[in-house]
Amino acid sequence: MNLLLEVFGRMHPMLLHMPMGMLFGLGIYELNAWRKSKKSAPRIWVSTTALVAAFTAGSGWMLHEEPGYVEDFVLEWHERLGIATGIGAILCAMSYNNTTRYRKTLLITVGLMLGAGHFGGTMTHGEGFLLEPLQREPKEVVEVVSYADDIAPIFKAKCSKCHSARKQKGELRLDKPEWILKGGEDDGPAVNAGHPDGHPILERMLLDLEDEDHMPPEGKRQLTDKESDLIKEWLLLGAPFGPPLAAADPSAIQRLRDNLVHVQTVSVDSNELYIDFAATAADINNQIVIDLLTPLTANIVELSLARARNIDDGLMPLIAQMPRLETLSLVSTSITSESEATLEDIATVHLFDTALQPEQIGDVLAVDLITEGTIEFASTECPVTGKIVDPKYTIVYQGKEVQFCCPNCPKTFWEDPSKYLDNK
Amino acid sequence: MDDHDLLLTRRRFFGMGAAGIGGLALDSLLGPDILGLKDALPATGPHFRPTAKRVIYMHMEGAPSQLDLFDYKPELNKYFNQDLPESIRQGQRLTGMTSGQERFPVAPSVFKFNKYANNQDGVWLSELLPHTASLAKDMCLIRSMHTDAINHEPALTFFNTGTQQVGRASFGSWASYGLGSANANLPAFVVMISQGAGNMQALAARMWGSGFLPSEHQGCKLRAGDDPVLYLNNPKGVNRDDRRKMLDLTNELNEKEYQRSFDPEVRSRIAQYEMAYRMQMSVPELTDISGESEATLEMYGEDVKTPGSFASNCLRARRLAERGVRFIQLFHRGWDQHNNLPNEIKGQTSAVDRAQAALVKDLKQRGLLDDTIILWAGEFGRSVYSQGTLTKTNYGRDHHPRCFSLWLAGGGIKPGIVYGKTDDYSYNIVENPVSVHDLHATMLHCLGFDHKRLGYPHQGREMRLTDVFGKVIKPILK
Repeated sequence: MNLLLEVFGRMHPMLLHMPMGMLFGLGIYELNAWRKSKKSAPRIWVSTTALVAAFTAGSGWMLHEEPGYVEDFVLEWHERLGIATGIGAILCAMSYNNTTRYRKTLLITVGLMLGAGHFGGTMTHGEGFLLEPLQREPKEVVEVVSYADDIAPIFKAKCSKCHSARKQKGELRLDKPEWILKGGEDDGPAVNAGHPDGHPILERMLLDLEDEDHMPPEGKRQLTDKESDLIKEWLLLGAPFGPPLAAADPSAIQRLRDNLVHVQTVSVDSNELYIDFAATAADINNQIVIDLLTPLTANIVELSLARARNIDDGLMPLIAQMPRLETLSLVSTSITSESEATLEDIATVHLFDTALQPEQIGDVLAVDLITEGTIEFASTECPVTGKIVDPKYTIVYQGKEVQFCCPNCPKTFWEDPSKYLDNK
Repeated sequence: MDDHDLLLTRRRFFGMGAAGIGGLALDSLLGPDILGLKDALPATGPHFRPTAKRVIYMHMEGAPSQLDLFDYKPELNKYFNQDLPESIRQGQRLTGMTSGQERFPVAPSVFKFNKYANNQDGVWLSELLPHTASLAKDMCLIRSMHTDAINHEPALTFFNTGTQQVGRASFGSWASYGLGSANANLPAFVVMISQGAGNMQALAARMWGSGFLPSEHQGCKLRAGDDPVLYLNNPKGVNRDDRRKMLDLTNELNEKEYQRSFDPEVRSRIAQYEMAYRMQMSVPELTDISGESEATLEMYGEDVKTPGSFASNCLRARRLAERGVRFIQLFHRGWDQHNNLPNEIKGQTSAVDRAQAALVKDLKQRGLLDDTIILWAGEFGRSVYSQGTLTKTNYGRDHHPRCFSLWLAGGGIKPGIVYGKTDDYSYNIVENPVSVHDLHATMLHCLGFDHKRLGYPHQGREMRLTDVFGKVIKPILK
C-alpha cells in the first residue's frame, strides 16, 4: 500500500498542470460570463476541476513524504497554498448553484493557485529562473578574465564574510589585491602571482567539500561552477590584478604585415601577440624594428628576431618595454654580453650563435653523438634470478640503479641486498 | 543571364560562404592589395595558446620494423623458429604475401639493443640507431600505435589524411589552413622526398594534397638539385620586371573572373602566382647552404652535401623551420623489407640515423625544438613471424597493423618517455593503445586546435582531420 501511495505521490509533477489549466480557463470563462451577464460554465467542468485539483494536492502531500526535500520556506508555502487551492476548487464545486459565491470562491482559488505554482516552479527550477535571461550581462567579444570585473565580485559575495575588513579568519583578507598577495597565516600569499599553478587558494577550492580545509567551508554558500571556472582561468593567467589587455592597434598590425612581418594573436580569443621576422630577417635593423614594434610593446608575448644580423644592443631599451614578453629569440643576431641585464626578466631567451653564447655545434659534436645519453646499469641480468631484466622493475640501492626481471625479485633482494650483489 | 551566371549554383554560392566571404573579410583586413606582398592570414587561428608552431614530420615510407628498432623483445630468442601461437594471432587477416604460408615462424631480431637513460627508467633502443638513441632524453617513444590499414597505399592515406579513402585534405594542409604561413615568401607546407636503399613503394602526390581545402594549402614539393621548384625560374630573356607586369595583368583578368564566378579556386590561383613570384627570390636563399658552418654540415653527416639525400633534406627542414614554414614533411622511401630485412634495414638506418639526430639537436640549440613537433613514423609495423625462409641471420617481415612504434619530440610533447606496451611477440597492444586519429588529435592539440572544432564544410558535413574519431593523449603532453 505504501508503494502505491508513493507512486501516487510521484504523479504530482504530471498531474499538476491539469488543474492549473482548468482553473485558469474557468477563471477566464467566468470573467467573460460575468461581464456579459451570461450563464456559468457547465457543471461538469467545475466538478472535474475540483476532482483533479484535489487529486493534485493529495499527490503533492504524498510526494512530500519521500525523503530528500529541503524543509524551507518555499516548500512550506508551496504545500500550504497547494492544499488551499485543492480545497478552494472543491468549495467552488459545492457553491456552484449560488453563482456569486461560486465566482468569488473561484477568484480566490485562482489567486492561491498562482502562488502555489510560483513556489512550485522555484522548487524545481531554482530562484529567479524566469527573469534570469534578462539579467545576464551582455557577452563581450573577447572574454578575458579581469580581476576587477570578474574576480573581486565573487570574492565579495562568497568570501568577504570571513576574509575582509569585518573579519579576518586565518588572518586572511581577500578584499584588496595587496591583502590577497600578503596572504594568511597558514598558506602565505593566497595566489602564486605570475604563475599558472601553485595557487593555495585553488588548492583549497579543489579539496573535497568534507575536508575541513575546503573553502568556502561546508555549510556556507559554495562557488557556482561558473564562478569557480572564472577563478581557475584567472589563476591560470597568473592572477593578474591589472586591467585586461586591450587589443593591439590594428593599423600597427597592418604596418607589420605590409612589411612582411608575421603577426598573430596567440589564440583566437587573446590579444597577446606572437611576432616573427622570419621572412625579412636579413633586411631589418634596429630602427625598423623600433618603428614597427613600439606601438605594440604591451601586447607582445613571443618575439623572434632570429637571423637578423643587423640587430644589436640598441634594441634593448625597446625589449625592456615589453612587460608581457615571455619568449624571445635572438639567435644569430649581433647582441653582445652587455645586454644581459635586460634579458633576465624574460622566461625564455634563445641566444645561440651570438656573442652571449657562441656557436656550439662544435661542443655538440665533441660529445660524441653515440655515447651521449648512454647509461651504465649495474647489470642487465637480474641479481636474484640471473634472467634478463625488465626496466620497469628498477630500484636505487646505495646510489646505484639495480634492475630486476619481475616484481617479486626486489622483495627478495631487500631481504639481504649484500647477498645478491656480492654474488655478482 | 549568361552561361556563367547559371554556373553560380546554390552550392557554389554557399561554398562561397566559407571561402568567399572569408576571402572578402581577408580583403578588408589587408587592404586592396591582397594579392601583393602580404602575410597570409590563417583561415582560423589557434583555438587556444599552442605549445607548437610548426611540425617536422619524417615519414619512413614502407613501414620500418618496430621489432628491429624500438620494441625490445629479448624473450623472443626463446621462441626462435617456433610457430606463432594462435592465441596471439587470433585470426588476424594477413596480406596476400604471407596468407599462403604454411607456417608463421617467430623471427627474433638479430640486432642488439642498448639501454639509454631517459626521463623514466631508461629505454631500450636498437644498435641500428645509435645517434637517434642519443635523443633518448628528448624523445617520446610510443610503442602502442595501431592502424586500420594493412597495405601501404591505404595506410599512407590514413596516416596523411585521416581516412583510408582518397580525397581528403592532408595533415599539412590542415595545419596550413589553421595556422597560415609565418613567412609570406614561402608556402606554409613543404614536402621533400629522399630515395631509400630497399624495396620502394609508390608515393602519390595526394599524400600532401589539399583535398577539399582551398588549393593554396597543398604541400609544395621541393626537389633535389638546382631547380628545387619546377618552372620557378624565369626563362631566358624574361627579367623580374617583365614577370611582374605579366602577373599584374593576369591577376587583373583573374580577379574579373572571380567577380563573375565566385570560384574560390580563382583566388587560390592568383595567390599561388604571387607566391611563386616571391619564391623566385626566397627559394634560392633557402637552398643555398654555403652559409652553414663546417661544424653544422659535419653534424648532419657526409650525405648532407648530396642533394636529394635524407641528410640534405634534414638540413633544409631546419632552414625551413627557421624561416617560419608550418609543416615540413620528409618522406624517406625504402622501408618495405619483406625479405632480407637484416641487411636491407642497415642501409635505411645508416641513411637516416645521424641526420635525424642532428636535425633535432640543431633545432634544440637554436631554440626551435621548444615549439616544433618532430614526428618520426612509418605507416604501420612489421610482423614478428618471418615472411619467407627464416635462418639464424636472415628473415623478412610482412605488414603488421596491430602495433607499431613511432617517436615524437619537442613542441609540448613530454620528453624522455616511453608510452604504451605490446605483448611478448610485439603483436598485440597490451597497454595504452594510440590510434592514428589519436595521434592527429594530440598533435593538433599542441598546435592550439581542438580537433573537433578544426573543420571545413564539404559535401554537406563538417570535415575534420580526425573524421569523427580521435582523443587527445594527455599523458604524453608536458
